[in-house]
Amino acid sequence: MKRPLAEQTLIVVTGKGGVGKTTIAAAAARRFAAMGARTLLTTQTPEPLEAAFDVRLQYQPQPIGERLWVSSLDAQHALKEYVERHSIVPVLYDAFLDSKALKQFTEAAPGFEELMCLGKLYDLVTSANYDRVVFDAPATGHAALMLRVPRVIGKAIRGGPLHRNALKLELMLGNDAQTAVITVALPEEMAVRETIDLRAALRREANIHPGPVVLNRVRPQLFTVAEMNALAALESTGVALARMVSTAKARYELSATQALHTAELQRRTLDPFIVPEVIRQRHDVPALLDAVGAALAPMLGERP
Amino acid sequence: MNDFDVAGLATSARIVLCCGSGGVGKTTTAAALGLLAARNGRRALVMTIDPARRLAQALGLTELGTEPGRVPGEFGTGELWAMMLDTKRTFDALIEKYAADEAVRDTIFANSYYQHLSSQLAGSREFMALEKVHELARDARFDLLVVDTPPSQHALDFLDAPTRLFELFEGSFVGALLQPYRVAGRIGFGLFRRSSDAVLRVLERLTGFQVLADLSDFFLAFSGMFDGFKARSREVTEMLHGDATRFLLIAAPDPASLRAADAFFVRLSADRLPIGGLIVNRVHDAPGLLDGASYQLSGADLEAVGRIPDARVDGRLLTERLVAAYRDHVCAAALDESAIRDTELARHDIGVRRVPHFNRDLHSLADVAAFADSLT
Repeated sequence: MKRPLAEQTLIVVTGKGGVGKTTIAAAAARRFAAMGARTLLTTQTPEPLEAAFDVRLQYQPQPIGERLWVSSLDAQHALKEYVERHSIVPVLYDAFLDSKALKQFTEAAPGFEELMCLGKLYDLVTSANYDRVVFDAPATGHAALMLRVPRVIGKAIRGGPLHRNALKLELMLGNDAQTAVITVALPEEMAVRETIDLRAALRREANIHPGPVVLNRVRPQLFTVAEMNALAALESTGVALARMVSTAKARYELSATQALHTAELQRRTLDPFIVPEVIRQRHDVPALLDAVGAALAPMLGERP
Repeated sequence: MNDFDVAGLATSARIVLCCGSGGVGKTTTAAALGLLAARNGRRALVMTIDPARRLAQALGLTELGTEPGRVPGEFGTGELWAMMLDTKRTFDALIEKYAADEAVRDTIFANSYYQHLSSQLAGSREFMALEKVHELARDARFDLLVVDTPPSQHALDFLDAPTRLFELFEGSFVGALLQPYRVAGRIGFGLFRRSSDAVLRVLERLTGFQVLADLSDFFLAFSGMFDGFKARSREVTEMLHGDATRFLLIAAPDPASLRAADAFFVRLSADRLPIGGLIVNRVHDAPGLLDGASYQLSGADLEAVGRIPDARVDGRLLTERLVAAYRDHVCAAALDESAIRDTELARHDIGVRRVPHFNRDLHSLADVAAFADSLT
């Protein structure tokens, strides 16, 4: 069962470190924008996006294309906004916000930074400025922590603005008509296992119903068994053919290994949307994002 | 960009710390180093964090793997051991060691901030990994410790963790939190509330009170243990700078993981920590492929494929596929190489070892041995 995205406003993209979350998030955002949706692409870890788009991300969304904006979520900045909104004596808060004490507190207090970033995300999602907000989220472990923060804080702190804040965030994340959590995996043992574990954890601990699975950088099988047998049986080949047979063998084995991991996902009824590995345009970012975006079209709800 | 002697490292070092981002084959590399050392008659312990299930089984790391266990297999006079690091348990053991009495210990164990700190706070896993390394470095059973470091969100947590934790404990904020307690003892929050300054009142307003109560409870109980922890931390730092310690950078040949290796390199160099070299896993090997690569089959080669006597094989289609796979491979090999050459590491005198792509999962001991062979 493979369900494409519907009209969710918030698209959270997460997965194990190094699986290409940022590429998937950026490609999806570009595709949304091209389809006519006002799209914001945002993240807490700006470096990969800055490298991809060659732009310095700011807290305030900035346009980088038609109907496409980018921004970064910064906990300290989000906290400042939050405080200003709840403040009675603004002057006091200014002094307070610049203090080292505050920085230490937000680093020490469990989940505080995450809560502030999610709060900002909520504001962006409900601002009516965007049809889609794509969040290039932290990697698996941190993402699981972040997404369950509203629930934990909502329980730990009874009453007050923070409690109300946590409650509305929990509602946003738990509503799968409003929020889609995309988990990205590679066709490798550890990445597949982390994906399965993360989805279970989101259900259990954060009451979130995870959305589609994306299997990234798949090398589709090129050769049949009969072809491989025939190649192995060839006698006295020239240098060029010998090299091609050896690369064919490597490719066959790699694709076969990847197919096993794809089958493991399917066995758990997590039929993934497949994104083939883009080799030749790997260093040409726009071409790479276009190719990945095209592969994502079925997931993004485009009709062929 | 010269190669370096990986086997030599495995036979001479006392502690090898494998650093790199997640998913680059760190655990396999660490296990292979341990195996190389064992083959050379040493007693090697591989410490890992979260190995793939089947690799864990191959190393004998079942449920009870949080203490060193012998890896089954013949390594001559050498021995291969493996264990999993248990962050929480290591942290608990430290508290046991330094807590003044049982009451303090129990207060800390029951504190919800401690529970968060010991299992989840960024850096605490790294801190505890180092703590365990320090403990086992003096264990006479082992000649070599190979440490598979935690896959940090921020690659440098591993090095910054101890310092950050201490800054947290010693910082002005915590001092401010503790102040009313120090004056008033544990009379209660009424006094804390009256004596707290504007900053604390703002925090209180923003967060609700329990968070603060929990934090100050924790730091109060913990304050008696600072000295023990700090002495310990200095010893760990000395260990990392030791003559027989080497940091090994591990990466895959993609820009993101090589950037992470670069970040490690810059940081390790700044701290004058000893770097053993860079191992790049899963490189598309290209001996003879890149020079004058021709993407065509011709003459006898073309005829040979066309003549394949199997009705299920279409010679023309197979030729196209062979060329496509070859082009992909050559292209990937060129990209791998340029990614490696683009690193900061490449501009310095750091040894680089390229390990070919195995095109399959490595999870048996035989696979680890095959990997180890490619390192010699």
